[in-house]
Amino acid sequence: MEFWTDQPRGTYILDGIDVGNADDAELSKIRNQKIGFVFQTYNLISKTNALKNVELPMLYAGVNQHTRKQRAKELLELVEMGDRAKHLPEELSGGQKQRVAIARAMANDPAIILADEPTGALDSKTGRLVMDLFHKLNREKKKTIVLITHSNELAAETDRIISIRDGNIVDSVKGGGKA
Amino acid sequence: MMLLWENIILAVNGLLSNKTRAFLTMLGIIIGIGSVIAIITVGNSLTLSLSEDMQSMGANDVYVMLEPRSDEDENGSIDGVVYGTLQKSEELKEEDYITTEMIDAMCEKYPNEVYAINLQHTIGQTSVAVGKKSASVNVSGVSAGYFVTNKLEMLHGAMLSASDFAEGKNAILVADKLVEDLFDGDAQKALGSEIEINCNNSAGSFTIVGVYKHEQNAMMGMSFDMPTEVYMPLKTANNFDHLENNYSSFQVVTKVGVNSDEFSAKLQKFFEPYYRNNRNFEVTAMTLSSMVDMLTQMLSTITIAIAVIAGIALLVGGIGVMNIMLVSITERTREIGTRKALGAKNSSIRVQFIVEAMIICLIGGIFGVILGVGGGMGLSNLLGYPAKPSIAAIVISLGFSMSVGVFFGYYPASKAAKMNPIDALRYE
Repeated sequence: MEFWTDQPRGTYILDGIDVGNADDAELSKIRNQKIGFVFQTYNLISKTNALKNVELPMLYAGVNQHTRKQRAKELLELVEMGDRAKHLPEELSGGQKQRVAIARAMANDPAIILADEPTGALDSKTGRLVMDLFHKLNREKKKTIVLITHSNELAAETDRIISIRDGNIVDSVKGGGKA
Repeated sequence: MMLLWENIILAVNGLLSNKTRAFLTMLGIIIGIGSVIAIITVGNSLTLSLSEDMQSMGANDVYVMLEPRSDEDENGSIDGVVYGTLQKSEELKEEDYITTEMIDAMCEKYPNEVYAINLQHTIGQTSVAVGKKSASVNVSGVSAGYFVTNKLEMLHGAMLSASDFAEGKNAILVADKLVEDLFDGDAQKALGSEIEINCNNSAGSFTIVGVYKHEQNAMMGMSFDMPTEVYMPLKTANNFDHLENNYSSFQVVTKVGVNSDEFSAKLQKFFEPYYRNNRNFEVTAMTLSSMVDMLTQMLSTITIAIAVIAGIALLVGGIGVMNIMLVSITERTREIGTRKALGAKNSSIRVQFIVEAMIICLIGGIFGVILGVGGGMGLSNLLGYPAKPSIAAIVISLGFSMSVGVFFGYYPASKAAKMNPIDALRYE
């Protein structure tokens, strides 16, 4: 899953771009436009409110201020965090932070959302909310969501399960899906 | 552009959220810029008041003076240098002085240039008494030309007359302060009175012919027993002091339209033959404006030299900024990783941290300027000079402090920019 480093063997082509040979400008554009990242530890920028956090990928994309703000607000509404737009990350709970992070991942309307253990640091109730949000994005916004998890329970909710053990793909099956 | 603005806001917010660290980081810059500005402010004030003082004394007058001969025409060996330094301490001897004959010859040769000659023969400081009252005075003999360059405001009586000068009469001018001290301010009583002057083992009786207004020196205003000047004709003074008509310096007031710089060169040439065989001394002629220029130049060189030394504090401050920036990027490694994941280019990260360093230095610079201007003006006022902060120095200092930020921020910023996003995100 290393989108930004040289592959030891073979080539990895994403949307017509040879990622292995891409330079910094191309790679940062891929990260910016094509993939939305959601981390286990949320990774919101501290000292910067929720709205600004969601605006950040658009800032790097060069979107103008008005559009940026507008879209960030809409995205926060989508993750039901509209009323927390001006709050700093430290003022938010784990589940709220993760929802802001998901809104941020959606900022430049990427085709793929990469979520690395997004519920790992959350209790099961808030974890459920986050998972519901992913299902909603998948269903309504037609996003491909790559979810990394150790939980078979969560994996069972997906359309397809790829099992990796010690760096090798050991299994690939159609999942239960929860559509 | 908008990224820049966001970066500035980000940097300011970052600084505000950690005020103590921000202040300590800035301290080096504040002290550096502050001391540079303070020194330049004081230097400027000094230069300004100096040149104003001297301009008011008549910039177009030519000063002719005896100076120890520089040993450039010696063989230039180390011996020569040692000999030269010995020469400098050489006392003026009888035959070294500029004589009245030389001055007369000069006046004859340049009738179209010379307007007046200011010669002064200082006899010395003494005390004069009338009855039980006494006053301290400086006695000197002056030429008529003296009053051309040193204008006196006459309050009572008359100036020294042409015949006073020509015949060397025992006539003197005294200050109103002396009249106050010796005659209870009664000028009419003072005029025509004779007073005894004992000075330099000579004594004589002199008639007061005029009273001039004593200019209070602002800095000396407090001390009430400052001696006042007593002027007598030059010839009188020479007779009184049993001195030959010898001078170590004099001042030539030029006629209107004379290029005094050219004329001073001519005068120097004029005196050369007289001193060709004098091993110890030569005559130098220069205009006041050239002297002012020299002095001003010297002062600004000194100012700049001290300011550069103070600038070392700025360098130290810059290193402090670099240090904190390195700490900061280490602390914020995960943030850098996150930003890269969100699409920040290496250059965006670099700009972010350079802007941060610049903002630290700029804010430090602004505080430094405030401190420096305040301190410099305070010090100038304390020294009694009109304070004049240099706008150019302020602008240059702020620009310089920002470039310190760029210079010392570049390395940490590049380090941040080159981080591998995966490693940065994994950083604990």
